[in-house]
Amino acid sequence: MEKYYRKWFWLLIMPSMLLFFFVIAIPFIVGTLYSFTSWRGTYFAGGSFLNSFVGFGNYIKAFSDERFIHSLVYTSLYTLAAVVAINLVALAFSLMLNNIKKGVGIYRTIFFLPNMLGGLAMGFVWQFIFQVVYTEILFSPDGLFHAEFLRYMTQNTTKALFALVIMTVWQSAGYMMLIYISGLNSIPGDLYEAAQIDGAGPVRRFFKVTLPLLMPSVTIVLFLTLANSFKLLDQNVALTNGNFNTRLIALQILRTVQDNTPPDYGTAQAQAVIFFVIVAVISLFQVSVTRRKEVEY
Amino acid sequence: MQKKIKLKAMFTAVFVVCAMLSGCLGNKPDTSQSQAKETLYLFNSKGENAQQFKKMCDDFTAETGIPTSPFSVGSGQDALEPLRTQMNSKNPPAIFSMQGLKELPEWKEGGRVLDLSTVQDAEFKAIVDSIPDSMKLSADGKESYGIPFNVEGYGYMVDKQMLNDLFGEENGQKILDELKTCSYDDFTAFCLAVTDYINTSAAQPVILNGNSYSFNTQKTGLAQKLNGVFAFAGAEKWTYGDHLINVAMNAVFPDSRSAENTTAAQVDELKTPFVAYAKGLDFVSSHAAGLKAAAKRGSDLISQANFGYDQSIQMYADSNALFLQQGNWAYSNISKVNDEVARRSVFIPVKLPFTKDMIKTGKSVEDINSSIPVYVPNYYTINAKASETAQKQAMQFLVWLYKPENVQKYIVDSFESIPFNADESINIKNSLSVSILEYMEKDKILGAPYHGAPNIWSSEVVGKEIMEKYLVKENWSESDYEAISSFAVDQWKQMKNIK
Repeated sequence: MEKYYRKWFWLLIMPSMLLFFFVIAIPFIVGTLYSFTSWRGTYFAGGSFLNSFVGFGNYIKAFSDERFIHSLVYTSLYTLAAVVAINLVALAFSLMLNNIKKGVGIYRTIFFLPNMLGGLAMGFVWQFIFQVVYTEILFSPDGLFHAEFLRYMTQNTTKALFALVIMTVWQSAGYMMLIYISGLNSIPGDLYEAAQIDGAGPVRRFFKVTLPLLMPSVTIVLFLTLANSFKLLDQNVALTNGNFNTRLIALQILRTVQDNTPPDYGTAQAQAVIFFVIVAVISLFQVSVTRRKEVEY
Repeated sequence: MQKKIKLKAMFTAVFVVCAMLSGCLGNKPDTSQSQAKETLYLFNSKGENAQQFKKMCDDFTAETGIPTSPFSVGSGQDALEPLRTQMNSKNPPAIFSMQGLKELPEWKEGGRVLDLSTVQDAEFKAIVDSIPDSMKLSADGKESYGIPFNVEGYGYMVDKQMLNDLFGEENGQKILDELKTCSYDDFTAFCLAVTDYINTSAAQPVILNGNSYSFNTQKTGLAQKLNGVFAFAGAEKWTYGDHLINVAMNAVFPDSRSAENTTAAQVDELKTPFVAYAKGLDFVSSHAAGLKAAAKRGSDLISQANFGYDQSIQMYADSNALFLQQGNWAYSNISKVNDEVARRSVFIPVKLPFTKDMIKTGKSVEDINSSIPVYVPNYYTINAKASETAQKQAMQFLVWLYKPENVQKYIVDSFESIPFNADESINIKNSLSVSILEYMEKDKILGAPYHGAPNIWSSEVVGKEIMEKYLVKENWSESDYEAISSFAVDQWKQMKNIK
């Protein structure tokens, strides 16, 4: 088999390489070049690519735009909260399911199901939940119990951030749980036995055995949640549409085009490049840090 | 040998992938002029009439032999992104639609839109020349970039039967006529009396234009369902950001062109009309109906789940509210909920507390408060970068569409729209469109200067500010009116970069 793969290696990876080249690499390079021009979506403002060259003008414009800076900060806060919450919930689900004997398949399916819903549909469903179920049924003065801070979640910058976190935890925790479950399954049972014989309690076993050996899964889940949180768009559009200063960075890039006449695709493209650099640096840093924590046995 | 097979296989794979991707990469416009009849590509921004638009194109092909390929955006979808994609495609549209002055700079700067005033074709020129100056798609009044797709209008819709049930069959029509021409003060007194009647089943007679009318002594018919005066869509910024503020803008700018070419001093003149706008909005939003009971201004009023567009239509069609500020485009939505209500609905003007000194256009306060905005929402435009043959075919298509029999067949009957050149030969059945025509005949119409304001200023800047800061507040003060007005004026100047 290995001989077969070695022989046909280039042929087998060629379609993927070409697709990557045409669909990712070329648009990325072209996009980066356009970020230095006054590209308007269907034409260059100066008449040609060279005449519309503005150097770092679009980047300066992006960094001097308050809305862009706000969306960067807001996205970072959201990412921080979402990454922590999704990981904790996913890990808790996976530990629970790892310890039950009956109905594991049903629970896995139920926890995974929200992930099947598209971002926009999810946003609209949760808009209804926050505006009607939370506000009028559960937490209103006449509701189950009165909690004003859980009402009108989409009408306040801070509350909306937590509304987004609640929604994305509901959506992603099941998926991340599966990765953690496969990680837990690969930990040999005799290590736990040995630890137990040595007198380690459940908490100690978790921190000294489970967590170190689960680090490969943590690396993957952290990377996925980090990247997904940074580029969240559909749910943001559907839930708040950026009202009450709730534009995440992807929505900000999208709206930069609409906020200007003629549409300023050049600046939007510059924002996208900045966004890419930030996500790439943070993700690479995270992967290298968590990789170092991985242990072999 | 083996190596050769391997190489062949690799080249085949490369070829297949390249062939798959070639469709995505070709973006040069088709400039072939060799064929006598090219395919005419059309871009339709109204997804709601996609089927009817396709039928119209098919009929044109059958009659002229010119093949057509229409592209309609999804219903309710923003049209600009798909249009830009189509423009970058291998077959860019020769006819596309534009929403007016706000979109013109993009296509003009890109050289995509043909100045129709330069066209020599006699039949086509006749159509271009027939466009009234106020409806021309032109920043300077000399050029003309589009043929109006239709005209639209808006105001407060009112169900005639509701007035009959409130004031008796004999007074319903009289009240309606009075409401069309009465002053703002009469109108607000009327609304307060209706509120009293809803709450107590008894109210003092209303006085409109000096004439007194009494409510029915007992609530009957539709009046029993009323719980508020206005069906107010607090979550829809465009209803008060675009449309209501447009009425106030008519105090200074008669049309979009004058708003587009404004000076800072003229924008400053909007300060007092915008105070009137804020007062008017205060009144409307504090007398709003709800789906179950009267609404209170506050966080609930901007909830998409309770006070969105659909819910406001529902409130009006279910007779929970007396008035709904919407346009004739909402007819089919109302009809889906309650066809009877749709067929009985007519417009009365949106009124604001103007004073004579606020108005700079030569109109009187009475004029503005008895007129409704009627304007062109969409234009057919011709792609200046399309081949000469395609441009000629595009003109041929528009000449064909604007033949009187086709205007009736397609624009009126099929698209249920009002043609810009509507006259007595046009047979329109839609009650709201008929109501607009009546205002047009009496020349009681206002313009759409908000189309000439800076892009996103009206809805996404002013509308958003009002939604986020004011509609959530129970009471508004004089300083709130001033703050709203100053914000609107300052933002305009800032966005337009004028001092």
